[in-house]
Amino acid sequence: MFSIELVVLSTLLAGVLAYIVSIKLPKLGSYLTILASLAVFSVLAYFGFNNNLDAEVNLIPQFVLFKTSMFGLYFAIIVSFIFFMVSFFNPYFIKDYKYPAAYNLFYLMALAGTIGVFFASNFITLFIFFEIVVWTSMFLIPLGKKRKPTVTYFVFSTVGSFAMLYAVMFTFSITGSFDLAAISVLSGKSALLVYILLAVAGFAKLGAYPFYVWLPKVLGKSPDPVSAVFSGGIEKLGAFIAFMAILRISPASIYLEAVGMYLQNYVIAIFGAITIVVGTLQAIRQDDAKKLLAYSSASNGGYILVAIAMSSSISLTGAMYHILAHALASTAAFLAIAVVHYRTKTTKISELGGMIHHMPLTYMVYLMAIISMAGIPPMGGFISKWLIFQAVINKQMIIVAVATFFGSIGSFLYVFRPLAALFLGQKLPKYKGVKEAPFLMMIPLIILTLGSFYIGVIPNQVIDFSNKVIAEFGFGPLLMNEFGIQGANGTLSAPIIASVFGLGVVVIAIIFFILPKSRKVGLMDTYTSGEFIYTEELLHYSADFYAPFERLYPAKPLISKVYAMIKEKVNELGRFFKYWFFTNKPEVTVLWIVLILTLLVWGDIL
Amino acid sequence: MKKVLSLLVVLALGFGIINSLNQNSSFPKFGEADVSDRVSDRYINKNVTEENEEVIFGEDGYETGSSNFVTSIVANYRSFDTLGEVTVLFISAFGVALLFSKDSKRVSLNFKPNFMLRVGSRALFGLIIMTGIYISVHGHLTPGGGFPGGTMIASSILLLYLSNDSFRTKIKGFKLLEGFMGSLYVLIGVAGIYVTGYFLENFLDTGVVGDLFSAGIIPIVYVIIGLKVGSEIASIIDNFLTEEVS
Amino acid sequence: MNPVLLIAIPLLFAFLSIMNKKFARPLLLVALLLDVYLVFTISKGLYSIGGFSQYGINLLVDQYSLIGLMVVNVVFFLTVVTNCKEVKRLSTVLLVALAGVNGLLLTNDLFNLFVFLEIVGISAYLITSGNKRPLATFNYLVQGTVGSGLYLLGLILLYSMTGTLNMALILPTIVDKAIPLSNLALPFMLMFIGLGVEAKLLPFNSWVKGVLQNANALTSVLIAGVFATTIALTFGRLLSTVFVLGSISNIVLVILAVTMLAGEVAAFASKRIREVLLFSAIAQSGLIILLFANGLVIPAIMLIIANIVSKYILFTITGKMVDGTKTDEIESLQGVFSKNKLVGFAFTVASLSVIGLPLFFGFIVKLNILTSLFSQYQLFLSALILVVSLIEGTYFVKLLIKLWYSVGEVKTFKVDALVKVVTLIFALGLIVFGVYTKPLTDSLMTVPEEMMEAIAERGNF
Repeated sequence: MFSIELVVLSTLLAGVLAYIVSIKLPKLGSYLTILASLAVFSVLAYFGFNNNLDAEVNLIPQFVLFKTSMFGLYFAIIVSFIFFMVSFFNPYFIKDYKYPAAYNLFYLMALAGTIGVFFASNFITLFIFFEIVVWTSMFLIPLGKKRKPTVTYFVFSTVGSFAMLYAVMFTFSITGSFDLAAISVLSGKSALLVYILLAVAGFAKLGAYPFYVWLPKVLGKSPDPVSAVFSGGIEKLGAFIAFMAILRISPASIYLEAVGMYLQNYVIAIFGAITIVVGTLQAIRQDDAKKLLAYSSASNGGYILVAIAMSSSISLTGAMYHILAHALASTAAFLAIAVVHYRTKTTKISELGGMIHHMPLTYMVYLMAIISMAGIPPMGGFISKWLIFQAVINKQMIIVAVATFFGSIGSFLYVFRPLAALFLGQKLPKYKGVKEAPFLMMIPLIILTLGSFYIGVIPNQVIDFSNKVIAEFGFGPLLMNEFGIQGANGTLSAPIIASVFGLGVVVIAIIFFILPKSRKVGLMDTYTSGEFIYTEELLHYSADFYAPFERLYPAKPLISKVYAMIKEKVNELGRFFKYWFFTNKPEVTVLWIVLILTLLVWGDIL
Repeated sequence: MKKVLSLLVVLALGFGIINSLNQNSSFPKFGEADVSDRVSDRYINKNVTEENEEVIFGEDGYETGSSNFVTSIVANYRSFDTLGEVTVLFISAFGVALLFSKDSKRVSLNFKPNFMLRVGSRALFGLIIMTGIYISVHGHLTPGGGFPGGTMIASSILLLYLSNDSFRTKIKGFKLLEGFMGSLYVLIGVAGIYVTGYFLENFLDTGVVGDLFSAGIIPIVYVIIGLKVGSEIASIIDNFLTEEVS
Repeated sequence: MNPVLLIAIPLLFAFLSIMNKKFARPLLLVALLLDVYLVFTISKGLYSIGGFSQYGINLLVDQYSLIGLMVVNVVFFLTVVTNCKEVKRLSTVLLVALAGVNGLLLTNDLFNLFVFLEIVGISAYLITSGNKRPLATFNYLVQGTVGSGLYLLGLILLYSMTGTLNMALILPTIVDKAIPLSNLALPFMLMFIGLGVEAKLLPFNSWVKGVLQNANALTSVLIAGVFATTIALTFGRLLSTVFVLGSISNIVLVILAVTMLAGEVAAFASKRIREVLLFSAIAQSGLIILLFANGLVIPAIMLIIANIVSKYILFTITGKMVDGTKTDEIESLQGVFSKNKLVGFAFTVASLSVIGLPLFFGFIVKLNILTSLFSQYQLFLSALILVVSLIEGTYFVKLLIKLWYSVGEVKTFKVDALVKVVTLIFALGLIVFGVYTKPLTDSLMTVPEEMMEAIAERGNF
C-alpha cells in the first residue's frame, strides 16, 4: 500500500529539497528532479497497476481528499512518465536559467499538482491542485528568454480555472456538495451552465479553439524541457476536465437524430474540428520548429475533443489512446528539437539544415515521433486515429470527418517541414562541429520512441486499461482479440500492419544499400544559371518552404486580434475611470457625492 | 456658469433633503421632539444611574453636581468625547506647527507695535484673561466653560503678541502647559479606573448644585480644558503670525 | 485590563511627547509596545466610560474588535519599527493616530465614533503631509472633511429619530418604534457616504491616488494598511449591527461593485508600481465592504487580515524600492528582485496571496468568499468577483515577471535586515495560514454571534 497523499506531499518536499540543494549546486538539484519524478512514476505505476494505491490516509487536514480511479490513474501514470522523461534534460538546461533553484522547485511542484488533480475526490481538491499547477508551471515559462508568454498563459489558464471554480461553486450551491459525482445530479439549465463552464475550463487548458492562442506563445517561447512538459503533460489536464464535463453531465438538450448525439456534444465536436483545422493550418506555416509543434499540439487536442464528444466505446478508447500516443510522440518531438536547440542555439527551421549528419539518432527519434503524430503505422498515433476515424464515420458526422481527415493530411505537410529542412536539407557551414545528443538526453529519446512504437504494434495492454477506464463512465469495453481490435466496420490488426511495414522498410533498405551511393556535395556547389551563389541562406532549401500555401490565409490567427482588442478595452476602461474619478480636483468628488444624494432624495420625493 | 450650475445642484440637494425630511414621519418636527424617550431626558434630570425626578438648585447628592446641564453632558456624561475633541484640537495645533516649521524659518513680526497698541493691550490683557479664567472655572455653573474660556485666554495672549515682540520667545512654556494639561486630563480619567472602576468617572464628591466647589471633577476638567485650549490656540496664533511670507 | 488604556496610554504619551521632542520617538515605541501587550491581555465585555451604562459611552470588546485590535496594533507597531527613520517628527501624530485607531475599533457609540474618525482623519492628513505633495494632502483634507460632515449629519438625523447613540441600541429602537426603512434611507446613506470617503469607495475616493502614489513606506502602509483596515472594520460593524440598508441597498451594492471593478481596471491600466498597488487597494476595500453589506462577516474579516498582511509586505517593499532606486516606473524597475531575492520572495508571496492562488492565505479567503456568496445564491456578484480577480491576477503576474526578470541594466536598492525579517515572517505566515487555517477559522466562528449579542442584550451590562 502506498498513499497518494504521501506521493503528493513527498513530491512537494522533494521540490523544496531540490530548491535548497540548487541554491549552491543547481546541477545536483536537477538530478534530484530526475530521481524524484522517477520515484513518483514508479510508485504510481507499480502500486497503481496492482490496485494498491491508498486514498484514505489523510495527513493534511481540511478539505484535501483523494480517491483512486482507473481514469485518474491512467492520466497520472502518463503525465508522471512525461515529467520523468523530460527531467533527463534538466541538467543540461539548468545553467541557462536565471533562477535554477526556482526551476527545480516549480518543476516538482507542478508534478505534485498534476498528480493531485488526477486523484482528487472532490472539486475543491481538484481546484486547489489545478491552480497549483497553473501558478507553478507559470513561473517555469519566463526562465527562458521571453517574459510575455507568462502573462498570456496565466490569463488563459485562469479563465479556465475560474470557469471551473464557478461551475464547482454553482454545483455546490444547488447540491450542497463538492463531490465529483455531484455534477451528475444536476439537471436542466443548471446542468447546461455547469457543462459549458467545465467545457470552457477543459478547452482553455487543452488549448482548443478559441483558446488555442496561448499554446504557440507558451510552447514556442518557454525553455525546451518546459515546452515538452506542457505539451505532453500539463495540457492533458484539459482533457481530464473535458472528459468529466462531457461524460458526467447530462443537460436537457436537443437530440440530433442525424448524427445520433446531443446538441451540446455536437457543438463540442465542431469546436474540436475547428481546432484541428486551425491548428493544422497554422502549424503548416510556422518557421519556428517549437511553434510548429505547439500548433500541432493544439490540433491534436482537437482530436481528443472530437473523440470525447462522440461518447461511444470506440471513440472514448480512441481518445484515451490518443492522449497516450500524443503525449509520447509530442514529447519526443519537442525533446528532439530541444537537442537541436541545445547544440545549435536556434529553433528556426530556416536557419538550420542537414542536422541528420550531426545527430542521426535525434533525427530517427523525430522521424518516429512525427510518424506517430501524423497517424502512420506502425506507431501509436495510427491506432488512436484509426479508432477516432472509425467512430466519426460510424456517427456519420460529415463536417467533423472532413476536418479530421484534413488534419491528418495537413499533419503530413507540417511535420515534413522540419524533417526536410531541419534534419535533412543542406548542411550549413556554421554548424560544422555540432555533435549528437549527450548520453543522458538519449535515454528519454530512445525510451519515448520505443514506447511509441510498442503501443503502435501491440495495443492490447493499453486498450485493456482504457476499457477499465471507460467502464467507470458506464461504457462497454472495446472488443479485441490477441491480434486485432474490433472496430465498427472492420478489424484492425496492428501487429500485421507493423510487420508489413517492417517488410517494406527492409526492402527499401536493401535497395538503398545495393544501389550506388550518391555523390556528396557541399553547399557552395550550388549554382544557378551558371552563376555561383555566395548568399546561400537566401536560397536555402527551407526558406519560404510552403510559400504558395502560405499565401492562402493570414499568418496571425484572427482570434488573437479579438483578444488584443479585449485587452485594449480593459485598458481604456481603466483610463476612463482614472480620468473621471481620480482627478486632482476635490470638487469632482464633492459633485459625485451631491449627485448621489440628490438621486437618493429625488427618489424619495417621487 | 460653473458656479451657477453648482449652486443649482446644491440647491436641488438642499431642497431634496428638506423635502424628504418633511415627509419623513419618524423625523420630529421642529420643537415637537419627544424628549422623554431619549437619553437627553436622563441627562437633564441627572437620572442615569439613579432614580431622580427633578434637579433642585441648592441640594446635594446628584450623580453629577453641575447646575449647567450642558456642562454635565460635555464634561461628565460624554467626557470621553470631549477628551477626543481636545485631542482633535491638539493634533490640529501640532499639525499647524509641523507644516509651518517645515521649510520656512521663523521671522519676527513685520510691523512695529505703536504706543497705543502696547498700552491698550496691556490694559485689556488682564481683563480678558480674567474673564477667560472665570468662564473656565465657572463652566459647571454658568454658560461657557473650558472651550470659550480657553479661547479668551488665547485672545489675551494674542494681544501680548501684537504688542510685544519679545514675548514670542517664551512659547516653550506654552508647549509645556499644553502637554501637562493634556496629560492631566488623561490621568484624571485613568485615576477613575483605579478609584471606582470606570475611566473618567466622577469620583469626587459632587457637592451642592450651584456651589463653586461642586460637581466633582467637572470644574477641574474644565479648567484643564480651558488652559489647554488657551495654550493650543496661542501656539496656533504664534505659528501663523511668525510664518515667513514667501 | 481595561481596554480604555489602549486609547489612554497613547494619548497620554502624545501629550507628554510635545514637552520634549527628544522623547517623542521612544515614547511612541513604548506606547506601541504597551498597546501590543495590552491587546493580548484585555478580556471581552462592555466597558463603560464614566459609569453611565448604556446611556453613556461604552467600549465593546468582542471577538470582532479583539481580532481587529490585535491585527492593527501589531501591524502598526511593526510599521513604525521598520520605518524608524521616516517617523522623524511624526511621533506625536502617530501616537494620536494609534489612540484614534484603537478608539474606532473599540467604541460602541456613534458620536464617539465620529470623534475618533476626526482624530484618525486629521492624523492621516498630517502623516500624508510628509509626502511633500501639499495639493494631494489638501484634496484629502477637503474630501475627508466633507465625508465626516456627512457622517455627522446622518448621525444627527438618526439620533433625532431614535433618541440614542448607543450602537447596540439603534437596531432595537428602530424595531421598537417601528420606524419604516424608507425613513432611514437618508441618514444611513449620509453615514455610508461619510465613511465611504475614508474607506476609499469609488466616487468619493479621488484623494487616494494623490496621497498614495507619492507615499513612502511608512505613509503607504499606515494609510493603505492600518487605517484602511480600521475603517473597514468600523464600517463592517456599522453595516452588520447598525445599518438597515433596506431601500438603499441597491445604490450601495452598485457603488461597491463599481469600486471593485474600477479599482482593478485602473490598476490594470497603470504603469507605476505604487499606482498599481493603490488601485488594487481600492478594489480590495470595495470587496471587503461588499462582503459586509451582504452580511458575510467571517469572509470579510479573513479578507481584511489577508489584506493588511499582504499590503504591509507590498507597500513596505515598494516604499523601500522607490526610495533606493528613485523611480516607481515599472519599466525602469525591471529585474530589481534579482539582486534582492529575499525581499522579492516576500513580495511574490504577498502578490500571489492577493491573487488568491493555492498554498497561500488569499486562496482560502477567496474560497471562503465564494462559498458564502454561492450559499446566498449570489450568481452575478460572484461572477463579477471572479472577473475582477482575473484582471487583478493579470497585472500582478505582469508586475512580478517584470520585477524578477530584467532587460538591460538592473537598479539596486538596500533593505534593512529588520525589514527583510519582518516581511519574510509575514510572507511565511501567509503560507502557513494558506495550508493550515483551522485556528483562525475557529476563532472567527463566534464573531457574528458575539456581534449580535450586545444588541440582544440592548447594550446592558
